[in-house]
Order: sequence, then structure tokens, then C-alpha cells
Amino acid sequence: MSYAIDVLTLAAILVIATHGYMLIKGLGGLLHLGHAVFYGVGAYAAAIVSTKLLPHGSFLASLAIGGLIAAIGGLLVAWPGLRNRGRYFMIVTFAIQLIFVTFVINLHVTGGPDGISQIPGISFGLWQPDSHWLISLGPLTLTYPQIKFGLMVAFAVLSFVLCSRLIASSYGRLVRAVREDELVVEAYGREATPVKAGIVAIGAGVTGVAGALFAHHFNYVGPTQFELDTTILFLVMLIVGGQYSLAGATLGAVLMVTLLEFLRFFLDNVLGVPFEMTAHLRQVVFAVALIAMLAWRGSGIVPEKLPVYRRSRDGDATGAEHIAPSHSAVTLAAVPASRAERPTVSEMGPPVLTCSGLSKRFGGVVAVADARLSLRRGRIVSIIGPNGAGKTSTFNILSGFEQANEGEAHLNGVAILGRSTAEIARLGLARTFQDVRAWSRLTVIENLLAVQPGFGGGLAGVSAGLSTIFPGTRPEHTERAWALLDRFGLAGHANAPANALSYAQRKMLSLARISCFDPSVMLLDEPTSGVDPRRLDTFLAHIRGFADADHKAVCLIEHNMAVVKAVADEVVFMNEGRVLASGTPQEILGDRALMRVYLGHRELKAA
Amino acid sequence: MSSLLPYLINGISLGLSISLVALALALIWRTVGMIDFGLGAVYLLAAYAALMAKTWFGLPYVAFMAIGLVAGPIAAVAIYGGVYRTFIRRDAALFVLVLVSLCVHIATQHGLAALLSAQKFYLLDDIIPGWEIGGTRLNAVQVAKMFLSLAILAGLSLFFLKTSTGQAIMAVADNKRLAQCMGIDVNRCYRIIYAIAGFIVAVAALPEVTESGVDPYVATTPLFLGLAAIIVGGLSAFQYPVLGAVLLGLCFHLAVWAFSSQWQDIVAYTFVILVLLARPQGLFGGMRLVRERP
Amino acid sequence: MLQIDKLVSGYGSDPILRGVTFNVPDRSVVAVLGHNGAGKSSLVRALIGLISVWEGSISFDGADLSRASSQRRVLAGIAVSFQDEAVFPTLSVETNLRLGAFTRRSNPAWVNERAEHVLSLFPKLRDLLLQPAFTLSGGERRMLSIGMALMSDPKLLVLDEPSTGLSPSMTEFVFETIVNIRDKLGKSVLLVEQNVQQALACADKAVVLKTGTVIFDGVPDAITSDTTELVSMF
Repeated sequence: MSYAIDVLTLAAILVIATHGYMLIKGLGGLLHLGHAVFYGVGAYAAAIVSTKLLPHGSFLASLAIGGLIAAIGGLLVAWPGLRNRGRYFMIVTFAIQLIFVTFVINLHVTGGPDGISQIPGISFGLWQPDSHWLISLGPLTLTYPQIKFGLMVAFAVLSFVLCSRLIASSYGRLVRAVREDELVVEAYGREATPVKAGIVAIGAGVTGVAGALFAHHFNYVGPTQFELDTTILFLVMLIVGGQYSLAGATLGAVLMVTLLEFLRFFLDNVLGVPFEMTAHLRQVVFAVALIAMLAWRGSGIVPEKLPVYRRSRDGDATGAEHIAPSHSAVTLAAVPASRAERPTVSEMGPPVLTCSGLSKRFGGVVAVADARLSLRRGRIVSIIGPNGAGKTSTFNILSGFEQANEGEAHLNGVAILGRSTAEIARLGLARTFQDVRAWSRLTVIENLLAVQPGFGGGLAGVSAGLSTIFPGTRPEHTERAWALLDRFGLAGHANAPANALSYAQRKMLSLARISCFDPSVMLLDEPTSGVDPRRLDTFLAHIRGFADADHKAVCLIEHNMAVVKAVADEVVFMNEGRVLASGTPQEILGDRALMRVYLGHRELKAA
Repeated sequence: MSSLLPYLINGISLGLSISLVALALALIWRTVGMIDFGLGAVYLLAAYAALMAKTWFGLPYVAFMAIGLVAGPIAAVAIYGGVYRTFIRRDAALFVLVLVSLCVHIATQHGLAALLSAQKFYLLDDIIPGWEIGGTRLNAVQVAKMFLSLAILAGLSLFFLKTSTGQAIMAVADNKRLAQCMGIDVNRCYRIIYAIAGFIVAVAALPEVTESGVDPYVATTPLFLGLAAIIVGGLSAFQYPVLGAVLLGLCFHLAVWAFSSQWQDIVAYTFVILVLLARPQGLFGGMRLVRERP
Repeated sequence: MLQIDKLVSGYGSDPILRGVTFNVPDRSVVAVLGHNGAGKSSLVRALIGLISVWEGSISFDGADLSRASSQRRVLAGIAVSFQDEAVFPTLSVETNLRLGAFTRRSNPAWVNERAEHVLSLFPKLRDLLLQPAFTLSGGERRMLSIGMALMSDPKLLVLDEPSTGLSPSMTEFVFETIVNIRDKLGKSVLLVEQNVQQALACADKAVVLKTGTVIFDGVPDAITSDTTELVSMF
């Protein structure tokens, strides 16, 4: 019986460590091959601190220190390993896993190869491990091990609750967005690396607490407990149970402990396998089980559960599939008529975005030679030109995805060349992508919630994020998201994962997302490409709406002359990296010499 | 301080020894796109094949070494066909392939320990002949390994530049779907790559275990050192991991020269971590093949 | 030349192509039209062997290629040019072209001749021979991709949305080239397109796909003369 309690106590501790792993791998999408190191750091820190520094009985302080040191360790590992898109993160963590044991064996403070023993058990005041103190609860008499087990379960439940809150919070959503597509997260104003480092630190911290609990439970820590085999055990627990679900991680830990004990019993008692072989055979079973699970279902037994948002007011929670704007529908024919109503250049304020002399070369290829642009609020500029003319490169330079060799650009008076993508976005410039790049495994409404303005970038974002772990998403943000979904006709799909949408719906989501971000300048990269002609009107109405109703400065790259004629106030013609001409659509599209360059010997037929 | 020369020589010797595993890892990383921890299993299987040939069949040194050399590629191709291929065909994510390969290594390691016991066996009972060079002793096995690494490097360059199979493999590495549409047999290319990697790993393993003996844990360190060499050197040309390996080998032995053998591991690993912090793409060249465009 | 009969295919568990039947005669351009999701790209992949045939058959010049490997299909005379990721990015333009003739690599003289031929069709590529393919612009890459498909001297050229993302003058050049491939080179072209007007202008036959089946198979005039029906078809 006491053996069973012991096993279950260990299971509870391993559950907590697996929660930490789930945060890093499942939520953060970061494959990390050194989880036993965080566990070990927490265990050793608690061991060292409670045997050498702290007074007897300061168990909670020891836990806190174990968690903290592990979290700091996580940060140290994460920061360099996660630059450059985290491709090397798995190698870095693997290296550290192998090195950790060497370090620990060689250092005196960790007790060398013998480890640290005689770690005080969990104790509160009078309740000590060796006291024969028993708690009587009616017919039940609880011994120390049983109370300890209950305490561990309480810790495991606490860990579950806290991690669930984190996952459901706006920070958790941000971490998932980074997992799906971190470049786009940066395009909407938030540095990805601090987010990733943050989740690694938190996951490491949780695991460190588990390690500290282990130290106090087992009363001994030694180098052999934290080797690669232990990391594999954690991996199997996480992947088999379900890496994208906290419940899955919990289930995986419990399942694997059960399997472990079953194997031990089966191999020892039933098959009579000698002791030395048992440990090895167990590892073989785990390795094979992991391969089998990966072959069957990469996401494990328990799949990811996406959050569901409901509207707070009663109103149509069921939107039929339609993509009509709530503004009055504007048809292609009607738009030129309303152009007369739009303010002229002289009536508008100063330009929001100007750039000139932009040039970009790589190798011998000149992508952009001398680009210039001037964008004003409420006006739509369309860039047209042959392939290779430098249109997308210009967008990339302005949004910080590429660095210009020469030139200057100013947004609301601030120079933006040389700044990072996230900085430029925060200053008020956002762009869409030709291939949409929605966050696939976030729901449609989450795609909007994840770009809400309001968080600062960089480290400010992390601390702001951490402070919202408990409150979750602000209600006014959710309301705004619902309103936008209505406007763009996606309300019926609010809780569907973005990758379940059709192509046209995803293009629409792209517009909804940039609208949600509320920048001053919108760069739209071929927003209507691949959209079938019947739906074009609604897209055009939205794009026009950005300028007329929302007073944004809009610039779009287009190949469809009908679209250009319908929405653009100004057309800029680029070829071979230069701006050759700019003017009204009539001027540019009517200029035969220019159109010959663009269209070949057949002239544009009037739409 | 004693003379530097013997440490330099030992360093280069160790470096060239590491470079073989690094090369095999780099080969698979660049063409298939996975970090193949399963090469550790290949290392073990080559070593144990030689051991079995010796103990069960009583074959002489050259014969059982040859068997080991043949077992390497066979094991690698078998692991590819039996395990990896299912995942690669499904376009499995990188982390899945990495985890699967890690499991292959673990399963092989512990399977061998369970079946054959974890004790160390020796392939040679006598002392290996060697020579005194520059104040240190290099045995025949170490010298052979040095020459073999250089020969393999030259051979690989020729293979990829001149032969049509080599070019087909480069095409598969660049755009697998398109290579298939050009009529290239992608599966065959993968088999060839794994066979080559398996052979290189066997060439690395056999001399090493001749010197230090065979047990289920001998593959972990070479695997890690091979990875470390790629981290240090970079990946975009095949010479870079080799250069990285030599640097690493020098680092190990110069640490002994400068400090003491106790700090050997820590100094070398710290060097690896520093390179990772300062230049994660490797000292010499990029790990990325194609520019990522947004 | 190409006969597709009740083809059922797809990815995962649900089929995308649900019984497609049509044929491509010799020396002709057949345009395949339809929405995204109708099955056009899946058709291309099924033809070249990237996805397998679940039911039905693909016959080429009398031979059943339904279970044949991609290699066999290229040898039989089918070649594909994709809309995206259509070249080998880090390899030079010249190497790209040579790889197009991979199945005939044992005959270098023949390959050189083909290369000359393709370069005369796309003279702009001559200046770019030594550059890695990723440095090329979108239009140049499209030219290279079609050139690579021509390198194996196929009888049937399958083009997946060749005009998407190209400027109008490039688009015109692409469609002119398609017409040349049929008229001067005597090949057949299976043209999957979103650009309905231009595709119909050069096609001998049009096939319209909707949710995985053929809803129209006939001469282009039958479509263009009735625009309301065209809209309703989509």
C-alpha cells in the first residue's frame, strides 16, 4: 500500500513537470529536448538551498527558489536559442541536456557524482516526516505519506488551474499565434522572441517547482536522475497524452506511470526478467510507444480544444454565410460616380507616409532602384507594374521585412527605415500578405483578438501579458472583434479554426484582421487575387470603406485593372524598380506608351 | 608549459574523427531535412555487427571490420525504409522526424543493452601498432581515420558535382515535389543518401570502438560531438562541418594543455555554447539554404 | 492522347475529384476551368502521380498510367509546370533546365539540343543561365518552369495556372507561347486556369470542374456566347 502511495505521489509530481513541458512544446510550439534539465535544476536548487542555506522547515521558500532558478535557466537557454526563428532551439536544448550531467558531476556544490542526500522532507511546523503524527478524520487515519500524497495532488491541481488560466489568457493566445506564424505576429506589432522566451521561462519555472517537490519527496538528488532517459520519459508522457491539451498532458503522465509500473510488475513477476534488463526493456517500450503514437496521431490522445467565444448581448449568434458589408453595397458601376465626392488632394492633410529614393539590391539583381510614394489619409493609391517591377519589395522595405540599401521613409514624421517590423507596425503601418497567412489553428475571432492594439511591444508586452494571465481578454476587445466579424461577414465562423475557411473567406479575414489592428497606413498586397469575380464587389466595397469611412491611408498592389479603376484615387506605375509615373487612373491607364510597356501590344479594353 | 605540438596533433586527429559523424549528419540534414539521431543507432549496429562477427564466427580483424563497414549502410537504409519513410511520405513536421529518430537511437541502445548486456567488449586484445609523431603517439587506427575522412570528403564533392545521381539528390534537397515531377526517383535518392551516411558512420565507429571498446553507450558522445561540429562550423558547404569538427577537436585538447584534463569537457562545451550565442549559423557559413521571403 | 475516366482522387479521407471524365486529343489545347476547391490542382497532381488514383483510370496513348510512377509518366511523355515552387531555387537556371531532361540524361547531345530549343523560345533566360533560380522575378521563373517542362520533349504539357500573379504583358506572352507549343511544336496542352477569358481564347476545348465533377465539356464558344450561364456555372 505504501508503495502505491509512493508511486502516485511521484505521478502527481510528474504531472506538474509535464504541464511545464506542455506550455513549452504544445502552447509555444518549441521542441525542446532537455526537459530533464529544468526538472534537475529545480531539484538541485531546492536541495542545495534547503540543506545548506535555509533554516529547517522553509519548504515553500525552497519550492519558490527551485522554480525561480529553473525559470532563469529557461530564459538563459531560450534567449540565444530562439533568435533566428528557433530552428536551433532543439539542438541547443539537446546539447544542454548532455552537458548538464557533466557539469553537475564536476561541480562540488552539487555534490559531484554522489549527489545531495538527506534533503529534508516536506514539513510544516510541527508536522514532520518522522513524526508519527497522524490526522484522524473520523474513521480514516492519515499517515504522513498519505498527507504528502494529498498535498502533491493539491499542487498538481493548482498547477492545472494556473496553466489553464495562462492558456486561456490573451498572453496564451499570443503564444499560440507565435507558434503558428511568428513573422505575422511581428507584422502586427509584437516582438516574437520575448514571447517565446517568456513561455519557456514559465514552463521551466513550473517544471522547476516539480523538481523541487521531487527533491523533498525523495530526499535525494543525483546526476543519474536527470539524464536523457528522463527527458524521453517526459516526451512520451506529453506526446502520447496529447501535447496540445493540458488535460492530455495530465493524462499522458498518469498513463505512463501506470504503464511503467505495469511493465515493472509484468517483467519482474510474470516473465521473471532479471533486474538489469527491466530498465532497458522499459526504455525500449517507451521509445517504440512514442514512434507508434507519432505514426498514428501526432497530436496524441486528447486533441487541442479551441476556446469558444459567445456574444454577450442577444443578437444573431448564427450568421448565415454571406460576405456583404454593413455599409451600403457599392457596385463596380457606382464607384466612379462617387469619386467626385471624395476630397481632393488639396483638401487633405499632410501625407501620412512618404518615401523616396528607396533602393534595394541583392547580388547583381536590382529589386528596387528608386521608389517613391506619398500616402494620405482617406486616399487609395494603387501600384501597378510588370512582374519584377519592385512592388512587393517596396512593401517589404516599408514594413521592415527587408532592409533598403538607400533611401528614406517617414511615417507620421518618424523615420522608419532600419527599424524592425514590429516597431514599424506599432508606429502605425500594417500590411496584408498575398497568401493571407492567417494563424491557422487559432479561431477566426482569435485571429482578430490577437492583433488588438494596446499591448506595448517587446519586453513591455511580456510584462503586460503576464499581468493579464488572470483577467483574460478584456470585454471591450471581444465586443470590437464581434463588430468587425459582422462587418466583414464572418460572424458565423467566429469559432471555427482559420484553416477551415474557404479561400475567399480567408482573404476576407485578412482584411478584417488589418482593420482590427487599426493602423494609420494599410498596405494591401494583391487583396483580390484568386477571388472569383462574383465576390469582387464586396471586397472593393471594404477596401473603399477603409479609406472613406475609416480614414486610413491605403496602398494596394493590383494586377486587375478593373479593380484599379474602381477603387484607386491615384495610380503609381512602377517598372524595373522605379516609379515611372503617377496620376489619376484615367491619366495612367490612358497613357498608351506606359500601357504598352505593361500590357504588350494589345491595349486595355474599357471594362 | 609543455610543448604545444602533441596537443595540436591530437586535436586535429580527434577533429577528423568527429568530422565523419558531422558529415553524415550534415548530409541527411541538407538533403532529407531532418536531424537524424538514428545515426547513433547505426553507429551501434555497425560496432556490434563487427563484435558479433568476431565472437560468434571467430573471424579475423580485417574480416569483421569489413562486416561492420557493410552493416552500417544496411542498417541506415533499413531504418529509413522501415521507420522514417512512413513519416517522410506524409510530409511529417520536423519535430516528428527528430523525435522518431531519437526514439530509434534510444530503442537500439537499450535493446542492445537488454539483449547483450551493457558491459564493455573489446575488439582487439593486443595493443594497436602506432608511431611517434611530434611528441605524441598516434596509432594506426587514428592515422587511418584521418586519411579516410579526407578521402570521403573528396569523394562526396565529386559525387555531388559530377554524377547525375548526385545532382538528382541535390534537386530532391531543393524541391522534392518538383524533383519527382522531373522523373527523379525520390525514394531511391533517399536510400542512397542514407546508405552513404551509414557507411560514413561505420567508418567513424569501427576505429573508435577498436580503441575504446564496444558498449551500448558509445554512440551518444560522437553523435553529440557531430552535432556540435555542425553548430560550430555551419552547414552550407560540406567542408564547414569538417572545419568545425577540427576546431572542436583542437578545443578539447588545447583545454587540456591550458588547464587540465578535468576541464576538458566543460571548456569545449562552453565554446560550443558561445558560438551558438554569437553566431548561430556557424562560424563559416549559413545553415539556411534559401532566403525566406515573407 | 490522354483519356481520363471516372477519376476519383484526393488527399486524406475525402475525395476532391469525384469521377472526372474527359479527354485531350492530339495537337490541342484543353482549358480546365473552375473555382478554387473544384479540383483543378488535384487533377494536375493526379496526372503527374503526386497523388494516387483511388478509382477510375488515366490512359495515355493507349497505356494505362493509373498506377505508374511519376518517372514512368515523364518517360511516357507527360510534363508539368506548377504555379508555385516551380523551380529549384538554389540551383542555377542552367542546372534547372538540365534537370528537366533528367530522364534523357544518358544522351547529352540530345539534352543540349533541347536546351537550345527552349532558350530560343525564352530568350530572356539566356542571360540568366548562371544565376540561382531564386533570384529570378516571378515572370522569369514562370518562363523557366515552362521551359523545364519542355526539356523532356513531352507530348502533353500540363500547365497549372500559368498566368496567376503575372502582369498583363507577361500573361499575353504566356498564352502566345501556349498557342505556339500547339501549332509549331505539335504538342497538346492541358491548361488549368483562373483567367477564363484568355484561356478560352486559345483553347480548342473547355472542361469546367465544379466540386470534383465535370459540368461542361465542349467548345469554348458554347460558353462565351452565354455569359449568364457562365456566371451560373461557377
